[in-house]
Amino acid sequence: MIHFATRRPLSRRTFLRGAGVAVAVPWLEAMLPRAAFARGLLSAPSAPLRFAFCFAPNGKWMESWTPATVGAEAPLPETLPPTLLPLAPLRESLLVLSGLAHRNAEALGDGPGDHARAAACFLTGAHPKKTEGAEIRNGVSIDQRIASAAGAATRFASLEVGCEPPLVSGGCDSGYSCAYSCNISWQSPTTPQLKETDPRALFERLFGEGDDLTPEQRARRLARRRSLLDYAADDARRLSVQLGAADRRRMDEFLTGIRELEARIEKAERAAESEPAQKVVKPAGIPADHGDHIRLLSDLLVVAFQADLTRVATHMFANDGDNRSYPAIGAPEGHHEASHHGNDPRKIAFVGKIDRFHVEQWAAFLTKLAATPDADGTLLDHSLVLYGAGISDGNRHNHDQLPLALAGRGNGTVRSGRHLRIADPTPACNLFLSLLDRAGVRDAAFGDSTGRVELG
Amino acid sequence: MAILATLAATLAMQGAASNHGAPVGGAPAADFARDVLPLLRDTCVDCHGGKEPAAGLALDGTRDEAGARATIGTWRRVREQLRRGAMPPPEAPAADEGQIAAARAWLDTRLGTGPGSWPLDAGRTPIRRLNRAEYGNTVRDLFDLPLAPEAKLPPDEVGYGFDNIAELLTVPPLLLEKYAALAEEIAAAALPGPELRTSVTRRFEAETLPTTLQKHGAAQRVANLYSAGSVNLDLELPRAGEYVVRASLSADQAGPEKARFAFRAGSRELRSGEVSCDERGEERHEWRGTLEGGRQRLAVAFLNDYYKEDAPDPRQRDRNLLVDWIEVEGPLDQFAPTPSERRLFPCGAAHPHVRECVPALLGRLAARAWRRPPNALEVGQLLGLVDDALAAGDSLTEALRHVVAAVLVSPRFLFRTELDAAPDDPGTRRPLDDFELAARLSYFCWSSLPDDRLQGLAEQGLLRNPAILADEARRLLRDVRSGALVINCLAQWLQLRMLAGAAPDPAAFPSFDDRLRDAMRLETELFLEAIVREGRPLSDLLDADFTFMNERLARHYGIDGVTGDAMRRVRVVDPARRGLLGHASLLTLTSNPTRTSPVKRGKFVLERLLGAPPPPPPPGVGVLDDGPQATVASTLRERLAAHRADPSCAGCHQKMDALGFALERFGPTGAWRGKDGPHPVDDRAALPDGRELRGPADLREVLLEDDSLTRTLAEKLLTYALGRGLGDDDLRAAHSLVDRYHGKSPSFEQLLLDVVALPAFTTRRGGLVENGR
Repeated sequence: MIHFATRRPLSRRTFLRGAGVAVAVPWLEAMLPRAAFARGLLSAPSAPLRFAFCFAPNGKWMESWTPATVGAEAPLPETLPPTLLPLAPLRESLLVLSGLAHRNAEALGDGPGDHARAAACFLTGAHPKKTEGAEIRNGVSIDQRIASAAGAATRFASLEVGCEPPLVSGGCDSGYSCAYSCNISWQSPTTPQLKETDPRALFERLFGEGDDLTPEQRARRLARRRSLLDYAADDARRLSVQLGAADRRRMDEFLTGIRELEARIEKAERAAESEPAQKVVKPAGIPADHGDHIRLLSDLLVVAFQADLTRVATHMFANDGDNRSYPAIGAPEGHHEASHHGNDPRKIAFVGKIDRFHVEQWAAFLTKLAATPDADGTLLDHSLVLYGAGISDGNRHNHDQLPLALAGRGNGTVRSGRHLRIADPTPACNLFLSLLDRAGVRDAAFGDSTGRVELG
Repeated sequence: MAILATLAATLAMQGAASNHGAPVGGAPAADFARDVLPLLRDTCVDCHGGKEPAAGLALDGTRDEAGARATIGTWRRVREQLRRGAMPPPEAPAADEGQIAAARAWLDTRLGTGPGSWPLDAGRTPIRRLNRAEYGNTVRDLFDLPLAPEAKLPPDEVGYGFDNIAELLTVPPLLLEKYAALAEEIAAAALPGPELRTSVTRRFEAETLPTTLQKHGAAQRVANLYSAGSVNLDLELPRAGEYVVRASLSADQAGPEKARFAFRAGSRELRSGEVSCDERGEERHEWRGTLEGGRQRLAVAFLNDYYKEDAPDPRQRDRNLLVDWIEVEGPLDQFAPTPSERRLFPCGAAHPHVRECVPALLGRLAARAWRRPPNALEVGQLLGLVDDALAAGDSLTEALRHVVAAVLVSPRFLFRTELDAAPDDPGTRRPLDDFELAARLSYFCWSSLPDDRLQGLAEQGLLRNPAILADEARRLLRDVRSGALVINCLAQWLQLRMLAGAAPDPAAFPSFDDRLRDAMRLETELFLEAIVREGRPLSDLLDADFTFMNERLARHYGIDGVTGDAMRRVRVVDPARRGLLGHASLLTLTSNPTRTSPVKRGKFVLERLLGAPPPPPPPGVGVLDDGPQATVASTLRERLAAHRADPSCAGCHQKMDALGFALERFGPTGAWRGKDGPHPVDDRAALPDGRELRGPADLREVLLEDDSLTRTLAEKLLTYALGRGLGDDDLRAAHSLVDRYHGKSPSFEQLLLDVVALPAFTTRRGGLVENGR
């Protein structure tokens, strides 16, 4: 990216070289949140706990996923199964969970549409209402539940990223709106959180547009933005009294959004003096390579965690039902097509390659977290990163025996390096309830939870 | 069996009771118990009754007019089945013709829109946020600036096949954040300050810029485009305006032509030309014109690569384009008022902005942006913002920018609102006012705000006159801006946007690339535009003898005589290629990466063209064996036949596959083929009714033999126009239009005018408080 206006030359080290592609990544040294250190945020004895939820579509080939251990609890085996192999260096931070289920992703009388339900239910544990558009209804997702409790401390209550925008045409899955198969993060039962797909746009949200502003100019800009939002909120309230009940709800949604932005400006104003605009390279846009795209978004999440701009994130590697092909790794057929493998070894091999590719991208995210110092340890020590899918076997569309793995020590609250075989089927929401405990959210239940999963 | 017998007896008694109650002096014009019940009792309820009625259609619970009125969707389905002659099924005992006729007469009366019909519910469209395309068009038309703000907005969720569905246009915080940032950017572009009025010339050495080709060889002073490709310059322009793009070029000349180049901005070709000097020389070529502000990718591309390894003269073997540098100068129009300034300042002053103009400016801007004149209070609030900004030390230009941004973050701009006096009373129904009609019409036809003329007619209160409304609809449709209807409504109906994600296996289809993909898309868009604007019958969608192509696409089709990159109108000689079913775009997006999919193509035809989507497959169904061994051992047709042998699949696949097989001569990228792998292509197909068809021409005939295409399009247009899923009454209204055409194919314009005249388009009712709809 060449800026038209004069810019200072940027240090070489801010460029990472990916697989033959120069990917501009704001990274490590360039990004060290000196101001945050100066404010003492990161030197607290116990670092804040970060949560991330990564999603991959269309299930897994479970034979290559599940570690061959015996009993309810066992250390991860010497040799990890093929799909998990990229995680070998991280095994001590890894907890593989077998036997969890999302009963609410099943049809329950609603007929086909497992891909839509798999994504919609993945973090909500709710049974989405079958509709193409009228009266969308799902549950609140766990990331948003955590954000509503922990989000006040950071500029962004949560960040949502993913590689694919909502599908651009057609019904998405068997009478379900695309809102379901394209969103895992749900702010309310009726509003999915939009995910950011462009790394550059995400960067600009996190770090501003990189303009050289004096503190006064910056303050003036924030004040203007605040005045703009005040006006919009006043106007929405005036309009709202003239609307019918349903339309008033949309205006409430509008006002909720404005309040969140105003809170963010307040935090930015308080940080104004101690946090000078950072000089970092913006990503150029969406990388052509899918792997680069996933990793660049993960990298920005790492930076956001590191600078304590947020503590909660979701990352959708692709929308559910995605039929992208992966010719670069020897899987030239569409992922969704291949996932309906009918036990054809050739298609299973494709699925295995794609599964492994996704796990590699997750491993890259975890590796960066593990390489990033944070207070008395690394970011990974102070994080809990869930990875998985809302479908187990893509061929059968079953929602029990879900492929799920949790990485990170969660500030020492999780005993990792193990494979847990949990009585089948236990609600995945039991795991969520255990995660909520660690976030300090004392809810009695979440989704269809019946208890907790012992992680310690 | 006992239950059924009791039921039949009950039905018979109900029928008798109703007849007994007929008014003296003649039977009522239509009576459910008299006209419909006998047919149901004798023929239908055996299957469509009881606990698990066939096809989920229960016909045993309704006994009288009131009951029928409450289950209107059921009767719409019954009417449809009788109309198609699909029910009663051939294997069932024949029904009494008189009973069928009586039932059809009742159905036609009640479900039509003529005398004796049930009154149509106007329905209610919720408040609608501008979607991505509408936001971009609205901003461009409002300020007359070549901005592309929608590039920074995420795509909207899709429902009912479209991305303008009110209930799905939610406003999560991330979107609001983008709206706020965009409002400030747009305001700055509309009212540029001195810093944006300075022209700058910047030069970029081409060898330091990325190219689409792999770099090889030693570092050079120039960028060597040794094959078709481009040198790319990503840059940020301070604002939209007039710029000069200049490049220093030379070439290794070889072969019969001189090296040709093109300048591009994004996918837009700015100019092309020829380099006449060789590698020892240097030529400067430039282009002057308007570029958008913000992020841009400028490119210098090499168009006519030539390589002949065995040419005797070594200097005649290889043609390359050499790029030394690229220069961008501008904005050059720094002193002239921008179009938006000219538009917004009614007292004619440009610079410096004049304080006295501000109230008029705001009134005018808000009236356009909000699609209705603001009241004094609203203008006062905007003026208050200006005063606050001035008090905080802003210049007048800065203060004006602030208030322009405010107009753009107001929900009155971001949402299309239709305010009711009694919004929560479903018993009220009102005609839309003139401004609401103007906005409905302009967003329907243009995905943008009303232009000056339309807004003017609204101000004069003339739009509620149906003749004027129709005239305006016709004018909007014929205007170039109706391209938005093609792209956002029709192309979305045909799922054309999915072409962007189609990924034919590069190993099997090495010639497929983005230029071909673009040409495919353009062919279909231009074709649809011609259907829309030229008053052609809708049947031309499937049967037109013209299309559009450029050299690249013509080569793909195996057609000679079309040269150059520009798309042009071409007569279709081969009958197989006529109409949409011969378009490579649709044929590609209904194929798998490695093979055609008769199933997907058949589903596309059923769902998109005939409006009769097959039910989704049951979970856990088998899939085709696509492995290399299977594809050599058996044809796709044989493998699909094995699939159909499974009774759970046969019901739907028989029809779906047949429609798809007729298109088998079109390969996975829409190219004509004689063989599929080692097997000869077989494009014969048998419909469930036993008819044989062969190839696209036969298929077309079958598709055009009834009015399904018109009905489907009527439904789609109404869905798109209203921004909501259609209720039973909406469907009745849409279908009643089709009945009016008496089997003839109307022009697109006729259909659109009829949709605009529907009560669902021109009126609305209050909502129900309970479920808010």
